[in-house]
Amino acid sequence: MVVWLLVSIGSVQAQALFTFDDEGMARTHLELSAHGRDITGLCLMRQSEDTLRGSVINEFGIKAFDFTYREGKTKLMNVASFLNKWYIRRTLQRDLSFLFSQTTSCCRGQRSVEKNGDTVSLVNKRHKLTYRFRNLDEITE
Amino acid sequence: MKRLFFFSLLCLLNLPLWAQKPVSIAEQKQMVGQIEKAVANLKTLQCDFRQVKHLSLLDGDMKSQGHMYYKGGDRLRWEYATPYKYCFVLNKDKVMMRGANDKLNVVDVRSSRLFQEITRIMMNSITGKCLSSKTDFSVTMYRHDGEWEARLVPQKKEMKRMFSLITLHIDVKTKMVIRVEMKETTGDTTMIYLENPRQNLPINDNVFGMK
Repeated sequence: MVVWLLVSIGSVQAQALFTFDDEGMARTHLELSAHGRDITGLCLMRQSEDTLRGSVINEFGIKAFDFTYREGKTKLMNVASFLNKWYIRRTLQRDLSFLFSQTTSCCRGQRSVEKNGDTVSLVNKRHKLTYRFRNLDEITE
Repeated sequence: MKRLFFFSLLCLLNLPLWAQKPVSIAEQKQMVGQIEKAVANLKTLQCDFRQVKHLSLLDGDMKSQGHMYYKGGDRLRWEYATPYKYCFVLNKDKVMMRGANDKLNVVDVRSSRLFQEITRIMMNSITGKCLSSKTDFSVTMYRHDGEWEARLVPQKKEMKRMFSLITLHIDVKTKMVIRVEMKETTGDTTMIYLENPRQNLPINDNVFGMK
């Protein structure tokens, strides 16, 4: 009972920060500021029972990386070559693990999360990285 | 009766193979020639586009819409309007990009070989010029009702890493690309539908600038 509760906490926490639709999908605009430079793209996520799965792509749809978050840990897959360095992957994994384990704005060590309206910001002070996620409106046909 | 049944079954099983049979080399050369002739007469092109990206890990789609402008073989404006704002302009040797954060990025294409490749392939894919570039892709042509299909397998290392197959769907009457299908090595696919095409109408050069 306790183990089941702990496992399910991971999925509930991400839902508190991001808006998931009826199909369990969240679509956000992502802006990553690093050392004075800005990279923009999209982060799409799907929530299932105990796993959060996501893809980060640029506006053209070119993949940056896929990820899964489960039991407090983020795993990266299909990482684009320009990001596929062990120190970049490690930073991304740790930053995203911190982000998805939060339910509200908070600050811990070198990282902080802030939710402001439909924007969620994650700051990694040590590496001077800021991630900003903003909800995208769905296209209705 | 049994023989008829098995014969019918054989025909049905083979039907997909028949549908996917490429045209002969001679016919392919003819088709590519006709497309090249249409492209040679193309001075400007503007259209709307719809993009659907299917993400295999999420089993979900990302849909977006926008507008495209093409002029003179060396200018392209690709602008996303919904659900996000993003604009990419290629003007001869300059690439300009502006996202939702409103910041302008300008890159000199000559400074990056990868950028040169990407922009060249983008321009050539929209018009169909890539069909005659043997260094970029190996090309196989197919014929379907009302359209031709060009299957392009990337030959160069960088493109091969990203894409396993690019398919151009070409309108038989106009010889213009109407749909682009890109299969990524990750299992994702992107479909781009080019709609309401308007050929050879004047396009102001300002369209290919960004301030």
